[in-house]
Amino acid sequence: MTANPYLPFPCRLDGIEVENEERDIKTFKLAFLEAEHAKAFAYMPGQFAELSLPGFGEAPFGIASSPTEAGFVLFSVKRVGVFTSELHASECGRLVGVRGPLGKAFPWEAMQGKDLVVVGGGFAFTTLRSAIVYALDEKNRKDFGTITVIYGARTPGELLYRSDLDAWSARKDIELHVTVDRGDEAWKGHVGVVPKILEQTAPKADRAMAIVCGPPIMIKYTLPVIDKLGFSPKTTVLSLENRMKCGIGKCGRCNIGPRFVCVDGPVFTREELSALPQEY
Amino acid sequence: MRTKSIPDKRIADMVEALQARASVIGPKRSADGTLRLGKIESADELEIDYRNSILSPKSVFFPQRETICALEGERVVDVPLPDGPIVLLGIRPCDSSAIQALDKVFLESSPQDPFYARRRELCTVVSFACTRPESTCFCTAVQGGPGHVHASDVLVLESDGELLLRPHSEKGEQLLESIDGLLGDASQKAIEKAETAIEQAAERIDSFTLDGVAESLQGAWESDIWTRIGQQCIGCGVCSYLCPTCHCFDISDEVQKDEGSRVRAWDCCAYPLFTLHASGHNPRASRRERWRQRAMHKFHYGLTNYDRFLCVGCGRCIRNCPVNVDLRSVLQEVRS
Repeated sequence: MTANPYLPFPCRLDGIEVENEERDIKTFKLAFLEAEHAKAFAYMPGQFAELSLPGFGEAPFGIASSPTEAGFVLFSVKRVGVFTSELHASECGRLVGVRGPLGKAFPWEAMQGKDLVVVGGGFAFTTLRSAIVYALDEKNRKDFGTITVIYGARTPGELLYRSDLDAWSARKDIELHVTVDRGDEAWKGHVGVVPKILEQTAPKADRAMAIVCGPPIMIKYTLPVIDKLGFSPKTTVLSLENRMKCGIGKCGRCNIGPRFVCVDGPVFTREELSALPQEY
Repeated sequence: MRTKSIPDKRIADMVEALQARASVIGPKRSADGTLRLGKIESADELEIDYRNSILSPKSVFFPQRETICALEGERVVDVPLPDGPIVLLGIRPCDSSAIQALDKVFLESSPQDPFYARRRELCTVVSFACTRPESTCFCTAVQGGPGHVHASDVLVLESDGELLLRPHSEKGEQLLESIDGLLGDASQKAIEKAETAIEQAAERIDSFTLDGVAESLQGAWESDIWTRIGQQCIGCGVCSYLCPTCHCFDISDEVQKDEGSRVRAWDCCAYPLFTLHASGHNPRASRRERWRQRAMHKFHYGLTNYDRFLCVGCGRCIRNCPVNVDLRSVLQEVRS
């Protein structure tokens, strides 16, 4: 008989990091209680999981850690509703249910041997962190050409993963451009929206794949730049979100046309999206 | 196995024999006079002279509300699967087709839903061919018909003073074997008569075609029809709740003190909360988009994903819509 696909793995909350000045985004470090569950939770960057707390329900989140970071999984969660507020109010030691991994990862096979251009904005940077950590890992770095990252937030205080950003900017094998819409006195980096910085940076598209994740407004103005740089619908990858419950293609709400974001996505190439109605 | 026969006057004996080995669910008159499917407690409750039940049999396999995990303090734990054999007796071929549609979602798409899978395994489906279609019926337009087998293990045909029983699966053969003492062989004459009645029923069913409707729908994404239907629709969701194929559900936690259940319950694409993001964004913000989703899901996405309509033409949504939205005319307009 099939195992219950609605049953989460029990994980212990092992670390909490406040990510932004607003203090409404925290990264939660979760450790599986059972080694066999950690093994069963074999994921690749781009996938997501359903997190739950009994009595407060379940909600889907992109996985922010990389499979190369063994022993824990990371989820960056914005405080918005019932579940996320309770998670934000939690302390280390509490049990959190993790159901997954769910959905399709970034197209790692197709990206092998290619230059990577990672374009992210705001809170959508979570699975992009996973992808960058994965690609920079010493075992994987040789599988990719140049790695260019363009990441923007409204203000310096809203940038996520600051210690990662510092570590990456110290490396020679990644070109990192961090930008903010509005700087402050201490800010020495780029000022300007993501599409503008992408256009200035002008990464080469001829043997590259681009991953673009961000708020709808960023996507809207970034895609024309992506086109201008010469990326094709096949080499441009996006990750979508929709309201979800089951995460396994049955509860019927996250579809875009005939495709479910939970099982056919959340990662889609622009080519795949062009066949779907614009209902997201 | 050949077609078997049982005289009408021995139907109660058959029900009793089935009750000895399973819980029998079938059409019966409820206190308010309506015809509903329910557990047959005494054999004479079973009513076979009916058109169709108000509610579809989907809850037999996919209950309106069901515990999928138990919540014990901080832990989420597994729950036992349902148990005990069931005979679902006397559903119509349209509702049998709907079971096949639900199978596509819950059984044939990975991962399987274990609760649904177990109930399907436990249940033997005995459907009754339909000889009295209603004016709202259109099974023949959606890959069905009044004598179609679909997911049925046994198909029962009505003839003068007797029922003819035909097994269509191993489960069906086993069921008939278990009541073999009550059954005789059906005569060729009785079979012909029953089949003629089914053919005549098929002729009385609203004859229109949905050929090419998926392509038409694809081209009708921006059609004004969705605005008009969206304005007419009040978003009550009765169409979904009565629909034998609607499978969308919600998952929520119900907890008192430290104990509780993670529950799935039927949900409906006509409701604004169905797709509302935590950010406040809603990809199906108005009834226009929500009605379009309903039509697309059943008549376009169903064909793309499962090679079948996710509609069986039972007509419940048409009969019970409080504002008289008729799915048939919507589809006809889209096709023209």
